[in-house]
Amino acid sequence: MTNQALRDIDDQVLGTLGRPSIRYMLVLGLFALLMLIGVIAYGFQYALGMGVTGLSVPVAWGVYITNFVWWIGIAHSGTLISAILYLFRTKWRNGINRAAEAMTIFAIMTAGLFPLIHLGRVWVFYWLLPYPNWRHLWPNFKSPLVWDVVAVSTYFIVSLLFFYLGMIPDLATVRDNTRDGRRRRLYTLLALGWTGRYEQWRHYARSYLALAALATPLVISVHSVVSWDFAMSLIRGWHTTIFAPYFVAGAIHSGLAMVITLLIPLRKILRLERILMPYYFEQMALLMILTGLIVGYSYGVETFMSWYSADIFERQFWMYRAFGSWAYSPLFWIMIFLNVAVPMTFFVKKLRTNLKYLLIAAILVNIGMWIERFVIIVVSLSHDYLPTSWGDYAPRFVEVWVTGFSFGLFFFLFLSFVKLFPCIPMSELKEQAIEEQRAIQERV
Amino acid sequence: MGMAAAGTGLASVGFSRLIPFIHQPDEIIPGVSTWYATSCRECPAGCGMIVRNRDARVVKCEGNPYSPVNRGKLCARGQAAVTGLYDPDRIKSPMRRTEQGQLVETSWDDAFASIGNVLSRRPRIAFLTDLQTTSLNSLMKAWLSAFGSDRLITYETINYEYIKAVNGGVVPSYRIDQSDFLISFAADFLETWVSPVEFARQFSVMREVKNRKRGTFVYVGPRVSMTAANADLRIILPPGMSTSFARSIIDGRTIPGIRESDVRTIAQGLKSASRPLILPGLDADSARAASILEGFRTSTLVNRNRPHALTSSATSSELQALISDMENGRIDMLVIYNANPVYSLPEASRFAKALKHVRTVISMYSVMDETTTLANWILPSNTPLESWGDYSPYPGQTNLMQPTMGTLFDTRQTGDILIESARSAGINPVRTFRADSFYEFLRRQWGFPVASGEDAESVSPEWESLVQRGGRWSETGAAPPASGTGVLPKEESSTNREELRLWAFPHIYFYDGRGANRRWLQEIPEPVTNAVWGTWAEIHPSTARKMNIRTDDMLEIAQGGIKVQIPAFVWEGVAPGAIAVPIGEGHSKYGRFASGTGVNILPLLTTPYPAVKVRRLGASKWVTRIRGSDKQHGRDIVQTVAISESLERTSRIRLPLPEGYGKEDFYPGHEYKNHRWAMTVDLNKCIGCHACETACYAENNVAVVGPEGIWRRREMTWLRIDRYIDWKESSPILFQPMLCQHCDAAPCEPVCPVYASAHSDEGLNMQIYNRCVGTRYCSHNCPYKVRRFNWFDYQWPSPLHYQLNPDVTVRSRGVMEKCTFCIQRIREAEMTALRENRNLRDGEVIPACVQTCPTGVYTFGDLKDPNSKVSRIVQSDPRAYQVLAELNTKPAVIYLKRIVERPGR
Repeated sequence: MTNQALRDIDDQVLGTLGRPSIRYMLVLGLFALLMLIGVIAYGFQYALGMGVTGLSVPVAWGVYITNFVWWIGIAHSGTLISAILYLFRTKWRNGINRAAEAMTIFAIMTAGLFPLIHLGRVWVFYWLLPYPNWRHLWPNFKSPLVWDVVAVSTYFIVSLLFFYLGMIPDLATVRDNTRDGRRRRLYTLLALGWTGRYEQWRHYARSYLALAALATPLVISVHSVVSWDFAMSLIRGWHTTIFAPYFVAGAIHSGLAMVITLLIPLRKILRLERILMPYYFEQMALLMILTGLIVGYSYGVETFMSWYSADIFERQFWMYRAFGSWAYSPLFWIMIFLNVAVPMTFFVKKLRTNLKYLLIAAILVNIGMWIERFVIIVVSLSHDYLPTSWGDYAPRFVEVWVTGFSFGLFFFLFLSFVKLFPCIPMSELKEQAIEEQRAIQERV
Repeated sequence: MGMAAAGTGLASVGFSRLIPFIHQPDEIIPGVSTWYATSCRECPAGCGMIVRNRDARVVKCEGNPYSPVNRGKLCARGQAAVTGLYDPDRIKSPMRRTEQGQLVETSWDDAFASIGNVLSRRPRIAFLTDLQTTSLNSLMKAWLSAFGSDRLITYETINYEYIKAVNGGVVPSYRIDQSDFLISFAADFLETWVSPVEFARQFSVMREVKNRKRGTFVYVGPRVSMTAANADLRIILPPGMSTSFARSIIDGRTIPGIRESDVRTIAQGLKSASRPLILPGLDADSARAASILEGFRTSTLVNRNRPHALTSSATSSELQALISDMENGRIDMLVIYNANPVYSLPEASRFAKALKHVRTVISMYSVMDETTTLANWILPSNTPLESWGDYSPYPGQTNLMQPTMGTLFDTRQTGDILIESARSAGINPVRTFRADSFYEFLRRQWGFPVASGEDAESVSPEWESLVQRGGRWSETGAAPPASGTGVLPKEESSTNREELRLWAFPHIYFYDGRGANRRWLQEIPEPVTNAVWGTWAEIHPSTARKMNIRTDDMLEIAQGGIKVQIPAFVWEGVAPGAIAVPIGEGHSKYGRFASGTGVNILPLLTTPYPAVKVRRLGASKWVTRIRGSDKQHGRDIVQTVAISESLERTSRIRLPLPEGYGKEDFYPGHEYKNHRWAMTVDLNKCIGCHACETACYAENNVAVVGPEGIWRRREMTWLRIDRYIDWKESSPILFQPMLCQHCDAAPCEPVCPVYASAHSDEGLNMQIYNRCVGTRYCSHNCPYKVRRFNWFDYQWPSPLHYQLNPDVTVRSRGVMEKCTFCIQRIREAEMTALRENRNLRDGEVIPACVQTCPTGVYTFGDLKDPNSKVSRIVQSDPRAYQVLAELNTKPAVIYLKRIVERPGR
């Protein structure tokens, strides 16, 4: 009986790896087209200069850095689910952690392009790396941007290792169930000769735990470092100690929303209704209440500190952001509504167990978090110390299409991954099923 | 326009061959500058100029320190003179009009042959020129009389005829520095009136506080110009009301809309002043008002026996006579030099039509403008920087001009064109003009006739030293030739207060339009409106409200059948009932930067301030301007003091030296072995003229981004003049030069990921262009926002690229740049001192902005030297403060508070 249940799990997941439908290929093609248009748009920027964007002084960071922070933020939730919840031995993460971790990998890859895209001289980007050179030139380790380089690359490497390692047993399963051909050779190569012997499982478990432990602090530290891109400056609206926890909570908030956004449709498309239980999504919604509250608290702290500081720059900036700009102030209030008010509806059980509602709410939170990054970056820059240099910003053609490129890239990668590799961790679900069976038998 | 060029993919500047000299000329050492003295001819003020020539190319203009008019300083127009020399739209060779009416290039020989032919038949000639004095003026007269004519008309658009009318036919000299009570009736003497650089210096002397007192300055006029912004009291009246106001000062009558207390203050001040001075503006009403007050209180500071060269400008009646003679076919040949009546005359179309009745029209201008394009012959002159010549602003003071580099194109000296054309007409120049070339003529005029057989070696040393000094300046000399006196028109009986009156004022940079093709002058903002690259119409909010007009709304202004469309600029700096519009823009033909930029309102000026009909159109057009907030919002950025308070220091200076670091600082300061460069900026002396900004553009290869670039806030200026307005203050408009503060604890330095923003061992914050990857974090962390980013590869259309200073990198796109305290000048001075085996002297390093400021706002020097002027000011001047000092950046630019009547904060 156990074997049948285990076989069932395998069949459902392996079934997702079948030939994609025409509709699937069309959607994939659409995302590829989005990528192509974005590349062409970027070509203008590469050829002519940063002037094709809407950037200027004072707002010299706009949609590109917003995208960077947003995509990196999204990545954090994947690691929370796969690493932190593993350490807490949370059961409901077992079905979703592979897809979440995949989201992390692809989000980091997408995010990592933006520090390059926004550079004035991208062809010398490698000067930010400490490579040996005749002039004994080092990058400036005092600069938060260099910390970013270290943090994001560390995060990527650790996440990739963790992701790959965790997938090895499943890759072996797929290998064993694939007929000969190119795909079987790919899986054979990637499975690294996994045969499921006891020593392999022992090493696997130990390494998995070690990497989970390694990845856990990164969830806190990486986005803290990204937030210090802003907090280490002297701009009012950026320079505040709440930023590290604010951004980390916001990252997890938007990441959970993205996991929900990805998995609810995936469940339907890949027919994984019996594996991706509604209970999992309910748990994520509950987590989002927590992160939403922390984000709300951060908004409150910023407001309080603006008043409490009695600093004329701080106070005038907050008033400007909340009420003073016909373009940006509405965004500020929309952001509060989407990021805090919408997740509070998850207190209602009927709402948080309704998958359709969850999907809409998650998308709204994603939009809200993007707006939050935009408001933080652009509005703080537009209204700083000397009034003669106040100025606003609106993205232009190139920036819009390059943003589109990032969405195209992410979804293209994710949808390709889902069709090529097992997006549900079969081995972990089987392990969970065996343990539950044992627990029942012991009681009996 | 620079942006348009960037978009068209003009090839970047490069030289494919470098050919060294085989016989190196003695005075040209590669890498070493040669300075040539000449005269600035950008306006009639007559400042002396010295021009820096590097490797046979002119790169920078500066004031001639020997010239008593400007004493080594130049205004923004003078700094931009070099872009006139390198104007990409200069006429490159002579042209003639074919039978079909096309202008085609021709050769000088052809031109002289044909024109000589015409001349030999002794046509009736009229000569229309801008203000020229001494030698060229004499040659023009001699040339005319050789052909039986005496019709030399000195056409200056701004002809000062009403000022002459109230001053016995002359434009007098003034001593503003000695005045203790100055009233200006719309005379913008710091911008465009008579001799701005000279008066700026005199004004700054007048405004120094001595024995707790200083001179009072009252401005009466329809608009708060830059000059008015520097006044203690402004009376803003609609045009035409100044005469009544002057009378009200004398007899105490009330004028609607003017505070009685103001009238009393002025009357009192005028009565009790020991050395009052009243300046007449350009229009009849202002001139009459000034003369009424002058009758009440005669000033000793007006010297009518020392008239300015502007006295020679022709009156409008002389011009009318010329036009009428042209229309009636009484002129066979019209020679035009540096005059553009088809642009600037109100009856321009009448003049253009009259031109058709003149058989031969010759223009000797160097750029194709509206008048030149209608000529039969275009014989392009050298620009002033390529010419021998002279200019005498005051009796006894004559600047001597010499070519500062070789001619760029196939052009000739103006005087040589005249002499050669005479020769071709069969006249023997040696007999008639006593010279075979203009150079010989000039030498003879100066008393150093060229001896036969003279060569470069045997030139008289006295002449050489005159040429080196740039002129001869003594206290007395011959007065300029008088021209018509001009008559004040009858006073208007009453002004209908319902009418809107057009107040046309000369644009500070373009003057009467002659500077419109200088792209720096288009790019640099007008001081009080911050407007660039176009025209605007200033309206008071109360007037605007009645017509539902807001800033950037497109207006149609109509008068006498002519309609123009100009965007509105609503602010309180103009009288209700007046519309103030600058003149000098809206060329239809004058090079790529001027053509199509702005609107020409001169055709509407059939009377000095006509009543106009204003209509709000549906469309809108941005008044292209430097954007950002106008107000300080309580941030204490430009600080002011009253005279009585100015003796105590109230601000704490956080020194940009190791001793400036203390408990508040996490890290220790920088140690400086040799020098710590610093600058003080005296806000009390800053009049807002932007000369320093223009000098910086010239010195540091700063790019021009064009109107769209400015609108997107991408101006490249390293030094900007921030302007704050608060109408509730006694000094409502405050100017503040803002440049890189070279902070000791510079916030831009820690955030650059590649050390492109670094601290030098002499205190400068360096921007290392070839290391910058363009993350732009440094710009964010600079609270002063003085860092500029290269958004595109900005272009210098040939031959403007010749102007590029070889000592300063030209930056590529993607790279940040900012003020360097002219590090190239610091290094040059240090190298010189090193070679001469001595220490640097205080005041030896002079950045470009410091060098040119007419009022002496800037002091630059070494803070490590306790005896340097900078150190002494920082240690002891009570007005010293630092901008945004509370951020603890420890800036090395220390400001001195502006002294105002009633300080705001």
